[in-house]
Amino acid sequence: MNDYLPILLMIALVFAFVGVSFVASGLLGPKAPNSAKQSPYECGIVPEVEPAERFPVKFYLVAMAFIVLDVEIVFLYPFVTVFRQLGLFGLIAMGVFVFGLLIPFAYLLSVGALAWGPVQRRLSAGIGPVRRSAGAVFDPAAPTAAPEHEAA
Amino acid sequence: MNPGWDFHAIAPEIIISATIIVVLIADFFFQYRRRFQTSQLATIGVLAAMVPVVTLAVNGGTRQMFGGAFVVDPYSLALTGFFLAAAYVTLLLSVDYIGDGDYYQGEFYVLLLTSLLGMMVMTSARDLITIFVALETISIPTFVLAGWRKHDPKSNEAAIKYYLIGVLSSAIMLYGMSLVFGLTGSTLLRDIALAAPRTPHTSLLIVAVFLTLVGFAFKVSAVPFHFWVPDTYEGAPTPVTAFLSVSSKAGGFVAMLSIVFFGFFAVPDTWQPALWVLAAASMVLGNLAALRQTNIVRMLAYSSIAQGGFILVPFAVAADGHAARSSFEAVVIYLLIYGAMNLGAFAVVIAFARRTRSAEISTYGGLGSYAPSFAVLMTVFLLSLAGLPPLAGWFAKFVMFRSVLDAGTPGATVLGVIAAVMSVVAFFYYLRVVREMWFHPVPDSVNPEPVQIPLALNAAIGICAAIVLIVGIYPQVFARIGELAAGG
Amino acid sequence: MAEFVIFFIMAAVALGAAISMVLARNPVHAALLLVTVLVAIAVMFLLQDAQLLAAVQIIVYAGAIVILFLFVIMLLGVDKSESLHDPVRSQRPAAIVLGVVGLAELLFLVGHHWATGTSSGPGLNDGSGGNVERVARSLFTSYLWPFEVTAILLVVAVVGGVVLARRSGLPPQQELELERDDDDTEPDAMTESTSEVSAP
Repeated sequence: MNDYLPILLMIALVFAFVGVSFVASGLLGPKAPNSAKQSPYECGIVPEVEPAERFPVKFYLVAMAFIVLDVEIVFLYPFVTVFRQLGLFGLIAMGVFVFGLLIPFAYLLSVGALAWGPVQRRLSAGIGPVRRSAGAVFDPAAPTAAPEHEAA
Repeated sequence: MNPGWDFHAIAPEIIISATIIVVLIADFFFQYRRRFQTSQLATIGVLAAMVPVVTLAVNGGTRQMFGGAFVVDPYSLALTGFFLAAAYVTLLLSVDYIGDGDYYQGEFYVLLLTSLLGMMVMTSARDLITIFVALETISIPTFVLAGWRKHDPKSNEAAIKYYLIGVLSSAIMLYGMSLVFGLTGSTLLRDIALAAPRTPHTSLLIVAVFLTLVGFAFKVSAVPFHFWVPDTYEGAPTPVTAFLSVSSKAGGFVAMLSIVFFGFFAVPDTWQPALWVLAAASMVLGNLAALRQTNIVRMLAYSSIAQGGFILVPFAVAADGHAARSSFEAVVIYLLIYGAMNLGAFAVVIAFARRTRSAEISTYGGLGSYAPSFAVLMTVFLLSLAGLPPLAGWFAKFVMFRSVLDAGTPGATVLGVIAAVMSVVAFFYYLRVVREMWFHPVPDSVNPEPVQIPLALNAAIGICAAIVLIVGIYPQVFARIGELAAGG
Repeated sequence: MAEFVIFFIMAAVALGAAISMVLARNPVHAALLLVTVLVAIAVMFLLQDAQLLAAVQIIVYAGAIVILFLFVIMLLGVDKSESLHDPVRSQRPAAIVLGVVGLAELLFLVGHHWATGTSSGPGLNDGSGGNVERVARSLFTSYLWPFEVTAILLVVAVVGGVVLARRSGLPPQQELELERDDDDTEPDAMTESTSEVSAP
C-alpha cells in the first residue's frame, strides 16, 4: 500500500491547490464587473456569429485513432514488465502487433483524414494528385442521393 | 517461451491477413476506372489461402499450438475451406453490386476479408478467449457492411439494430464465459471438459453455459433471439445479406460446435434443454412467419431462421443414445449444403433485382416465360432449401433426421416430429415463389426481356448450382467430409 | 484497516458520483462524473491486488471511452439541454422494477455461500512476479494468437470509422467526369464533409 502513498499525496495536493486558488482569488481579487468582462472570451475579438453547436464528424476519426493508440498502450504496459524474459520472441510478437497498428495510420493519412489544412493542397500541387478510388469527391451541384440500385 | 510456431498450420490466416493489408493500401493507388483491381486482389488472396488448406488436408493429422488453444484438424480444415469458398462466392456477388451503385468504396473488401479471417480463426479456436476474439472479428466488420448504403434509412436501421443486438449478445456471452472460467479454472476447452463434470456448483454452471450459448444464439438468429434478422437482412445490401445469412451464421454454429462438443459434452444437462427449446422455437416460428412474407429477402430471412432451427436439432439430441458422432457430422454437412443453396438463392435474387429494383415476390411473376434458365436455377435452389430429392437439401435433412433416430429418446422423437411437420410447411412458401415464376402472368411493372447477368454473378450462380446438383446426386462427397470432420 | 477505510471512502465516492451522473442534466457533467466513478473503481481494483486491471481501467475507460463520449456529445451539440421525457413511457417503471430485482438478487447472494467475504488474492503465490507480470506472461505465450488477431480488429475499428464518417456517394458516371476535369486539384471528401456542420 505504501507504493501508492505518492499518488495519494498528489491527489491531496491537487485538491489543496484548487481549493486555495478559489479561496485566494475570491478574497484577494478586486471586483469591478462590466459587460465586456462578462461576455464570452474569444481571443479578444468580439464574436459576430454564434459558434457552431456541432463539431464536424471528422473529429470522430481523431477519436478513433486515439482509441487505437490507447489500446496499444494497454498491451505495451504489461509487455515492458516481461520483455527481458521473452527475449527476441517477445520482441517479434510485439513488433507484429505494433506493425499491425501502424497500418490504420498509414490508411488515415492516405484517405486524408488527418489532412485538414493547406498542407495537403501544397503536397498535391508538388507531387501531383494521388488518385484514390475510395475518396469519393463531393460536388454540391450533384444530386446527393443517387437512384437506388436495389430495393432489396 | 516460444510456443513452437507451425507456420504451415497458420498459413491460411497469414495469407488472408496479408491480403487485408495489401487491399487496404492498394486501393489508393488504383484509378477510378481500374478500381475493380481491388476486388481482384481480394479474390486472389482468398484463392491463395485455399492452397495451404489443401496441403494441410493432404498431410492429414492434427497440429496444435499455444497449448491446444489453436488446433488444425480435419474439422477445422473442412470448415475453413467452406468459409473460403463462401467468401469467394460472396466476392463474386459483390463485385457488380458494389461497382454499379453509388456506394463503391474499396474498404468493402477489407471488411469482408476481416470477417472471413475471424471465421478462419474460429474454426481452429479451442479456447474461450480465442473464440471470443474470433467472434468479434466476424461481427464488427459486418456491422459496418450492413450500413453500407448510407443514403438509405433502411440500411441505417439494419446496421443500428444489428450493432446493438450484436454488442448486447457479446456482453452476455462474455459474462457467461467469465463464469465458466471461474467454475473450471481454465479457458481451454480441453481443460474445461475435464473440470466441468467435477464442479460442485452445478446450478451456476447451468447459468454460465446458458449465458454463453445465448450469445451464439443471437449470432445464429435462433428464436427468440431472432428479431433483428428480418430488418437487418432487408436493409443491408443484398450481397452482405447473403454473407450474413451463410458465413456469419455458420461462424456462430462453428463456435457452438466447439463449445458444446469439445467443452461441455460431458455435462449435457447444462445445454441440452436450452438448445432443444431454441431448435423447436426456431423451426416453428421461422417457418410459420415465412409463410406470410411478400418480400423475397424477408422470406429468405425467415427461411434462414428456420434452417438455423434444423441445424440446431442435431445439437439438441447430441448427448442421447449413440447420436454423438452422427449429430456432429449432421451439423457440419448441413452447414456446407445450406451455404451452397442459400448463396445460390441470394445470387438469383441479386441478379434479378438488377432488372426490377425490387424484391417483392409478385415481381417474379412469369419469369419462366421470358428467362427460363434463370427461373430453372431459382427453382433448383428453392426446392433444395425445401429438401426435395435429388437436390442437395434432401441430404442435409437426411443427416439431420439420422441423428434424431440415433438418439432415440422421447425428447429427440418429439423434436424429430416437429422438424418433419415444419419441413412440410416449408414447401408451401418455397413453392409459392416457384408457382409465381412458372404459372403467373408477368406483372406490368416488369419488362419481360431476357435478364442480362454479369459474368461474376453467372459464375457464382453456376458454382452454387453445381454443388447443389452434384451433392444431391452423389451425397458421398459431403458425407465423407462430414466423417473426416467427426474424426475419421 | 487502512484498506477498509479506503474501500469505504471509494465506495462512497463511486456511489455518489454514479447517482449524480444519472441525475445530471448536462451531458458533459455526466461524462465527467463517470470518470469519477471509474477512477474510484480503479482504486478498488488496486485494493484487490489487480494492478493491471486498475491501470487498464484508467487508461481505457477513464481515458479513452469517456473521451469518446465527450467527442460524441460535442458532435451532437452540447448546448441543448436534453429533454428528460422518455419517448417510451413504460421505460421508467420497468427500470425501477429491474433495479429492485437486481438489488434483491445481490442481497440474496450476499447471504449465500457464493459470496464468502474473503478478499481475492493475486492467484497462486509461487513467487514468480506480481500480477502485471503474470498476466503479461500468459498474454504473450498462451494467448498470443488472439492477441495478434486483436491488431487486425483494431484496424477494422479505424477503417469502419472512416467508412461511416466520410461522405461518399456519386454515381460512377459523374466520378469519371470529375476524373477528366479535376485532375489538377484533389478535392477531398473529408474536408468537404464539414458542410453540414452548423445545422441549428
